[in-house]
Amino acid sequence: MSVSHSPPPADWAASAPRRSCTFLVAGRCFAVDAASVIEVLRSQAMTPVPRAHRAIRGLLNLRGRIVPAIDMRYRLGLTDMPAVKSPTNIVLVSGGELFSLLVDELIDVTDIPAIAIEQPTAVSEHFSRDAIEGVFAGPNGLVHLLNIEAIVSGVMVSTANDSDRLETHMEKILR
Amino acid sequence: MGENQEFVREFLVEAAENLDQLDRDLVALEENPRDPKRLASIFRTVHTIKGTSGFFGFSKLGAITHSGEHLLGQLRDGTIELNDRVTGALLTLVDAVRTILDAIEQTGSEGDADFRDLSQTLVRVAQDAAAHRPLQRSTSDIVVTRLPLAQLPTEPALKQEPEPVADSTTPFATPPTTSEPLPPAPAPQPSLTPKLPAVQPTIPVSKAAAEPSIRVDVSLLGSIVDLVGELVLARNQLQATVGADTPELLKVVQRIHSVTGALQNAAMKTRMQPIDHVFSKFPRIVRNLAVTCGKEVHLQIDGADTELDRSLIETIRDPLAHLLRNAVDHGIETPAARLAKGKPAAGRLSLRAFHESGQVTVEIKDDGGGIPVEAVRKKAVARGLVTAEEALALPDDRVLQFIFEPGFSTAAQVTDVSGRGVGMDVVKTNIESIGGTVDLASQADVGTTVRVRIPLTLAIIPALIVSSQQQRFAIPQAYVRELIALRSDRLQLAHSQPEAAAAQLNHVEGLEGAPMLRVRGRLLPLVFLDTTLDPTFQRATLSSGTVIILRIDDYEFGLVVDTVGFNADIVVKPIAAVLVSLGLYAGATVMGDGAVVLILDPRGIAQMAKIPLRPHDSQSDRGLVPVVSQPRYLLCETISGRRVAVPLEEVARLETFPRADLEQAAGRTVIHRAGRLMALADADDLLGTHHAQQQITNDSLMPMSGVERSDRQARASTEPHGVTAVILSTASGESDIGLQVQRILEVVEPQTPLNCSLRAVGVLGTIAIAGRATEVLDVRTALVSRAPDHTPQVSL
Repeated sequence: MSVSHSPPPADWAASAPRRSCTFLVAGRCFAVDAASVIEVLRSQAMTPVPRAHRAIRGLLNLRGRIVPAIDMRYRLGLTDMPAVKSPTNIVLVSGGELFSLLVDELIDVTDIPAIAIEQPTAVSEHFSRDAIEGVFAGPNGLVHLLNIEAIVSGVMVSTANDSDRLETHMEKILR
Repeated sequence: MGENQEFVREFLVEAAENLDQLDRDLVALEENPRDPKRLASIFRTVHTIKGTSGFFGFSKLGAITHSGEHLLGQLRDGTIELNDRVTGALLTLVDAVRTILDAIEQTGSEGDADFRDLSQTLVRVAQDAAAHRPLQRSTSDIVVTRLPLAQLPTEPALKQEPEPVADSTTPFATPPTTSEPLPPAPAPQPSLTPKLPAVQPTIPVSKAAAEPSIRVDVSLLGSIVDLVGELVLARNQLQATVGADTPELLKVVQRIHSVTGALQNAAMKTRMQPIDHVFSKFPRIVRNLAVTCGKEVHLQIDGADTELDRSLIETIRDPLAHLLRNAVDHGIETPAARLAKGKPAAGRLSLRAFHESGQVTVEIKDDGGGIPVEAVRKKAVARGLVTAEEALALPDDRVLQFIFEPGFSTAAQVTDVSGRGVGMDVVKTNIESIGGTVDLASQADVGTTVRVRIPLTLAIIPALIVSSQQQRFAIPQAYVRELIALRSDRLQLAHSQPEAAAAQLNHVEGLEGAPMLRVRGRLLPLVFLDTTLDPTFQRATLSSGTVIILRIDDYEFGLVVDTVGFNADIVVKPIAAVLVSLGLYAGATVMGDGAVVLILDPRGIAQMAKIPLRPHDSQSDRGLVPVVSQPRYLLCETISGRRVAVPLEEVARLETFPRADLEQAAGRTVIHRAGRLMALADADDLLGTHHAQQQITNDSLMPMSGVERSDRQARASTEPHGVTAVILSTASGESDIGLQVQRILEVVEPQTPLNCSLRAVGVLGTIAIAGRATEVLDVRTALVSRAPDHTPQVSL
């Protein structure tokens, strides 16, 4: 057990294919790293959290663990399309805590060759891009690869004043 | 180190625990140098470390423990006597062992420190003592080890280093004041016998053989507790599903119910550890500090076997150590000063832990000079916390609260003795972060007492379930003082004058932006939960609701909610950091129906509502109102119509049960509540019959007759809401006893004192309430005398 694994070569992470979980939010395709995904659930009962970031739809009970659900339509500023009736929960782990991403529909789990991932600069779509890590061409168009930590840190609200400020910021994004 | 790594880690864990035990044993040994059991225990511990270090090839560790073992062997055999030098050398040995172990843990090797001098010292001390050379206390000898100073926790021998060395051939430090002031032994070890072997990681060598126990990964225990919580939820759902038409199934469900309850209890107990895990370090800390400060301190430790949730144990270590340091450094005077005041030269420092109404109280009490109130007052003015006039008007006990202000270090500002890092505000913040409180009382030349109250566990807390805007929330009971219905008719009940109550209702609505509620002459700021949680919410009218009087430290405010549900023991679950940062929620819990309910943090609610919590802000209208410590009573009417006052501090809560829920068991009335049976006592029975002359409905002086009984029953049955009971808080905080009354009248704060001359069995005395003499129920005596075989808690 003392045999230590030699660290992979520096370019290993960059060249290896990334297994990603792809899903739809407001008709657009996004992806997160599949290694962080714990499970996928159907629509769940939620307890709203007053004064939290508006993207936090509520808390769900995952076998006794309290999991906040982040509504990806709000998080990405994609509220122009009508919400689906029963969104899917993608439960994942970030920084040791569980979160659920509320998405319209789960599409697939695929391996993306690292070289296929490009910088998101060329994209001109109008949604919040602070959590976008890269872009790649999926079978049905562009897929935006999301950074989970950035998604989570984007819903941080420390005080009431901050929440007001963040909400106006969100509204700016919406426009 | 290869495959040995696992064993080395185990060795390190075990050795670290054994070293703590060694510290305790050595300090205790000074009190009683000939205690053969303790000597044997010390010898075994050092021997074990030596043996294992040989096994792993830790040569330095082996060398010093060998020397130490040699010295200890002579002590054990009685060839040498224990003295300051021997103890000091052995304590230095413990520190050196600790240093090496730390190095092994971090780097895998023994480190660069050279301990050969220590080995020599140990040998020399043994030789000197064996030669029966009487020890000169005045010799200022020094152990010269080449330990990096930074690695050593407060080590007196090393701190003395700069002092002149009289005789370098007898190298041991004997600080001038070590003659007597050695703290006594901590609580006797046998009392710490692990009741819960599974989580008792400290297995002192002396009793390892007697108590079989195993080491269990803490995270495994955590997951067991989680799973049991899940099981409890499933059980609750099962109970709700099964109907009365399937008696066989019902029986099985009942069985699952009781087993699950017992399992939950057992699982929660695995989280408990004796507070000794913290206390055990203190004799050494106090000893070292006393030596450094040139003081004589006698430390008395009581209640080290008091159990506390292990997650809390670590949190209270630093605050308690700080309070002890304060007591030794600033509280207790120098021997000369004490003698001049007519006190014994050695200061007394008492550290006591005990259970008190569902919480653990740790009391740190010294008989030193007390906190100089005037200096604090001046400092508060200088820091701009209060104006000079305000400061003069403040009573002393309020002035003392300023030492909890951030940056208001007692060390630097008040006594000009060197500061010691964390201030009292950090102590307070740390304790409050785990839902505890810190109280402080001080009297010049008599001493200072600090009381730290800590919840037994953070895992399960009693909470009040309320609702606001159709959403349920839990409020920890620890903050809840009382509930007042915000309806005009009830307001009249809660306050003695109806017209004043009506005016108060206007008052509540009238003041824009700053609603206040008058409760027994005090104006409390009101916070509306609905608007606090949703600033966009517009309330049409204030028609109904309940005011929950919450107490934070010494201040109270009223939280208005739509409805108050019930009391429940809730399992506290952590919530994500992004939600904790809101400051409004202390966590979440899962209710019986599987729904998630947020636990409110009253402190955060008060801050969100912009109610200042600082004492100096209380001058303003919006400030929280300081609590007046007048005794308060709950005035009730018994079923036979007598008025009786129950001291409010004895009351846990008020409840109403459907009459059908009452059962007779073992000759008394019981009610099934939250998985256990609660005994109900009739207030009339407790008061006894000799007070019959005070009855309103029946002026007969005769003992209660059968006719009267039926009259009582008739009265009781006409009560539409079922049975009203005053639930009394019991000393242990674990069991409930209900006091059955006809109805609750009000909470009173009488201005006249209690007249104890008019007392009887069950009656503490008489007090004038609204011009009427009213009996005050003596809850304890009443329960004992009227119900000798009373069993408050019956496990199912």
